[in-house]
Amino acid sequence: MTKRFETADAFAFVDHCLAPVDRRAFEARLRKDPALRRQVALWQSQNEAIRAAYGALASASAPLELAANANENVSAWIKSAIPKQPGAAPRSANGEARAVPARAASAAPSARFRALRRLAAAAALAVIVLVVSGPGGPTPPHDRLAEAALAAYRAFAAAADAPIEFRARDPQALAKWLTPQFVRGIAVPGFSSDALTLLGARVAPGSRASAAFLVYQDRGGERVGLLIEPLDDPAPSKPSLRRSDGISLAAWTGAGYGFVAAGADPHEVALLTRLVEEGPAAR
Amino acid sequence: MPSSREWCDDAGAMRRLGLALARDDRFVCDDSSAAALVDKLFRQASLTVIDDARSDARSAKVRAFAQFIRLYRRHVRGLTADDADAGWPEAPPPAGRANASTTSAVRDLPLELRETLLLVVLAGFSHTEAAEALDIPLTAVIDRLARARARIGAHMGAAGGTAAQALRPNAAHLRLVK
Repeated sequence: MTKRFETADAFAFVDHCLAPVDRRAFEARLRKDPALRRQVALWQSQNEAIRAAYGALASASAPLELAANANENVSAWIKSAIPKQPGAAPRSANGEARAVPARAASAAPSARFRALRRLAAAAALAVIVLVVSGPGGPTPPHDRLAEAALAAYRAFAAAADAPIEFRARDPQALAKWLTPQFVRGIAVPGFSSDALTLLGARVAPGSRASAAFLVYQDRGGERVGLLIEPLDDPAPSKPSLRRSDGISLAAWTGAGYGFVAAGADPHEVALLTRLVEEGPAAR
Repeated sequence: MPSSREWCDDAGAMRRLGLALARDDRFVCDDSSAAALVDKLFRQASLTVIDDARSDARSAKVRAFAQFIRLYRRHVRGLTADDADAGWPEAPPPAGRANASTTSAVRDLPLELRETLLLVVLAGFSHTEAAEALDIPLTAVIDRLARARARIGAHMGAAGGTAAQALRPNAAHLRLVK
């Protein structure tokens, strides 16, 4: 093997691109070659430093193939530990049937064997749950949503003369403008109220991706904002109220979206929250 | 078209990649400008996912990232159009800096090396996918990664880390050049 291919293999190992078989072979090579091991460790530390610097450590530290390998290993372990038929002879590594005492081969699974099977099943379940849900499990995105809404409100709605990207009083027209700008579209609240008038909307930074920021105005000319961000199928939740730096926020999730109502007057925020929750959506 | 869960993950990765790519201290010097630029390019690149409903999630992801990088290159090309030599000359390898960090090491990389490295390390692309997204051969991806890692190693070594120097970070690149 040439040096060029060695380097390509080392990069593939560092970047999690090797197939499981090649990965194991490369790990065996690493054990024998301390210089290569040091070089690989350096590149791995560079990768970790880059991910940490740009905030991707959490999502990238458990690559998909690692999860797949873990599942494969558990499955392989369960398969090797539990023969499909009670009387089937266990096989050695090279596939040959090992000699089994006649009494053991014909007997029903013992209590010890059943306990081992239960333990293996529990371990497999735990690994699957950990791999699927992550170590911390899903957390409500209210805090991040509220931060995004607070920033959007300060920038685009706190001042009465803050420009509005798209002016529209009709929710249908607004939905028509907003929908092509989002992969999943935006459900614009279609309520009509004398207390709050729709002024328009803009696209603003959300908690994870772009969000729609709708601006309403009350009778006194005060503006109230509504941030709507498409989320990854969040569990529905009731509005949670908070106040930050003189701005009231009500954040909740439902129907695949995160919503945050933001405004200086808590009563207007509560009113907007109620109207959005109870009203129809225009698409 | 990818499912919403897949696209949500990809969108996060694309934004991270975009912010790392755009914040280069040459054309974009602050985080909010980088975020605005990335937001704009992200929306345009997302359209490639919407437009083709037949493709599977993986190829849609590669195409969306490829489009994002293409748009960013076009943006950079527009900014450098007024310069006398509008190409992207490689910056000289960084010489000893007192407070060099990982981000500054990445920012000092030429665009072609930066986009390749970030695509693999930050967006989690395999080398083959990166080659597909950048429309270059696989060997070019390996070569760029080697050069990028050598430069980062040299940068961090110059910042005071002796380990990188001891491990000869340029060795991989030199092997490739041979």
